[in-house]
Amino acid sequence: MSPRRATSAAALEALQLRLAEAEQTLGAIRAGEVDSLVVEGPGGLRVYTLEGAANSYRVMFEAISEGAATLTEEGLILYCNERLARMVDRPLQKVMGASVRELVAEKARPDLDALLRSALETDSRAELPMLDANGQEVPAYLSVSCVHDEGQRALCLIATDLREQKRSEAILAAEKLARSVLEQAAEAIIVCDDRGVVIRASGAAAELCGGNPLLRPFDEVFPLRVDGESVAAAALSGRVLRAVPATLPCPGAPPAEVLVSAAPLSGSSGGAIGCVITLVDVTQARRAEAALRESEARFRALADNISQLAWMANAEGGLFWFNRRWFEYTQSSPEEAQGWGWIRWLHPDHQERVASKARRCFQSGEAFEDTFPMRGKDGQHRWFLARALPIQGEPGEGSGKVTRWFGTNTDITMQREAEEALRQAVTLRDQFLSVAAHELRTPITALSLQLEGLERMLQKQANGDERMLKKTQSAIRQVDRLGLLVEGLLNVTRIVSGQFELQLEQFDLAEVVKETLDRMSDLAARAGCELRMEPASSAVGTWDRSRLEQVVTNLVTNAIKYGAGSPIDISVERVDGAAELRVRDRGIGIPLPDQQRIFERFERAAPASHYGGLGLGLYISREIALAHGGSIQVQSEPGQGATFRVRLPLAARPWRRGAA
Amino acid sequence: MSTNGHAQVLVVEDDQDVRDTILDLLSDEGVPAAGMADGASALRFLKSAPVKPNLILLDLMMPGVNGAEFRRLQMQDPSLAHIPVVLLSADVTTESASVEMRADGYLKKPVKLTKLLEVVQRYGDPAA
Repeated sequence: MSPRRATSAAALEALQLRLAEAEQTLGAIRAGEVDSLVVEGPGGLRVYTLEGAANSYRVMFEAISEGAATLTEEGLILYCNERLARMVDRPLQKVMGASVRELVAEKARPDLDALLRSALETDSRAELPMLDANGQEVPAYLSVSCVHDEGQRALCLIATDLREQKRSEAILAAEKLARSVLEQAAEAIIVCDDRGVVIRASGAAAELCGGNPLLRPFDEVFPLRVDGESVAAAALSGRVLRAVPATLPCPGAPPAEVLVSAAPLSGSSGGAIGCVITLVDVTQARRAEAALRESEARFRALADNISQLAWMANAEGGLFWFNRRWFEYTQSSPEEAQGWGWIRWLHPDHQERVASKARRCFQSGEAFEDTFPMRGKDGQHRWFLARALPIQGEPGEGSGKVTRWFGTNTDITMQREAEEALRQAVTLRDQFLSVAAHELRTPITALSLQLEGLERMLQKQANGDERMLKKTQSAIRQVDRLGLLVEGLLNVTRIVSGQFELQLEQFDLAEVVKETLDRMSDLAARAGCELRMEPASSAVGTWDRSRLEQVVTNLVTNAIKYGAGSPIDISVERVDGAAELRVRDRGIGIPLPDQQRIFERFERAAPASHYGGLGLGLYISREIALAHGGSIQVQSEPGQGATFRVRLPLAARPWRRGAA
Repeated sequence: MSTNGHAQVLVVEDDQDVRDTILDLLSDEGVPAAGMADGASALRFLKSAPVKPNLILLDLMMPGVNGAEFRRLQMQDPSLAHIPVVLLSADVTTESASVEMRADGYLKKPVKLTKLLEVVQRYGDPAA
């Protein structure tokens, strides 16, 4: 043997010896035969004392369900238990002596370093992913404490395997989700075991049965039968039901209409371990459907029995539905009338006009209204008033959008004939009044002049006959009244026929009122009325003098007529660029409902049997005021008299009835 | 006031009662007046009258030559055109007709005696 070989052999022997020594040491440590260990490191010999050298601690160390290890300050694993090795799925021998950093996922290593550093100061904990031999992460909770022994520091690590806990958490979360699904579901969802006993139920299921269905047989809680079979039995036997309608008896309430779905739940072996049943309560929907059907039937009955022709059009204006009366009148078939076919039943002179108007309305969505003659089955045309209203969509989808039109055509032939006859009658009457007034004026002129001539003659006679003079004057007054009545009639016909023109000139209204009152003082005095003209400011304007005289005469005549025996106050004032004439009596007054009516032709508030007159005075006065661009108003209470106010713009703005 | 028997006022009026009444009253007041029932006879009367009246009271609605027609013919005749014409009518258009016919005034029927006399006074006596 060469000296070199001898040296190598000696070195190998020494190494083998050391290996055997190390194995022996490890075995001794594991067997609890060693309390402390001397390690030769770069800083010289270091003595590591195993914490809890007592055997009982060792047993506990091995027996605990957590992984445990002792580490050097640098993280070198001095010792670990089986559990820790199993956690990381590595042989125990390979764990011991390794750095703890290798057992932790790479991304978590900085956290681990921080954990070890902080453990030197105080007990520290962190949830960090460990790494098994296959590179799989193992969720773990690491707890590190520092132990001191004779000036030496070491670290004690406890690793709790969180995999189980994580699994439990996932199961719990799934369970929670399932529970909240059952709570929130609008449908009644029921899970039964293999005997058909309810083991899970949604809130809606409890509501539907009116109690707690849990742990009760499904058939007892929900006595439903599909094709004569119990639902639970059907599902457990493997039958699948999808939305099958059924009736659910409800104690003390009308039965509920439900849609039943059911399916078996299969276990791992393939047999049914239970079933899931879903019930959807459709009672409200069914009732709404029934109500809709009933309302539809009612509508048909109504539409078919009204005297009008009724129809419906789509949003574009095409007619698609007609009532029975339509077909009776037109003798058309639905095919002929639908869409725009109906237009052919209109008189040819009206077809184009009505069609274009209808199109315009259907486009803009505004209500349609028109009158036109329509041909009946006898070939004769009758006049109809057609009206159609847009029907808008339900709120939500298409809200506010016209979805269809509903229209009616009302036969107005009789009405039109009556109106025409009335118009003719009114024209004839007005013509008659006009002619009559004209014809009456002539003899009144002669009579009036004769009487005035007689009066003049009697006045001129010395020692004249007083009685005869008085009688003559009385006769003159009556003729004057007759003249006024005729004048009134003529005015009405002039107003109506539009022959009402103002002769404008500038004058003081107060003067005209004074003159008129002077002329009427006799009439007033005889009725026991004092005419009191308030000291008037002048109100100069441009008006028709004789028309305004007429207004004053009419108002004061009325005041005397209805307020006999009491004073009458008259005033003229300037108010905001207008003149206001006010006539106030203390007579019978006018009830509120009559206050508008009295300004109409031939209208009167007081009964004709008590108060005479044609009922024209206020009508004429109003027309005169309006013709000047003014207005007339009354304020009154029954028994409290009445105040009439005529307001006239200082410069008349002539206005003609019917003028645009 | 002239009293030489010549009419100072000519009343052209188709209604006899009205015409006679007015003539009567004017006569009572001492105003000589003549009456004619229509425009044609009124024109004839005027043309033949040696002394023309001071005023014509003219009705509008008359048979034959009516008021408007009379006025037109009167104005065409230089010997008659100067005579003032006051309308006396029951017609609703009297006011506007008075303007159109260039009449000197109008009276509406029924007319008050005082108004009638005022007008006659104003036109009837050129000396007044």
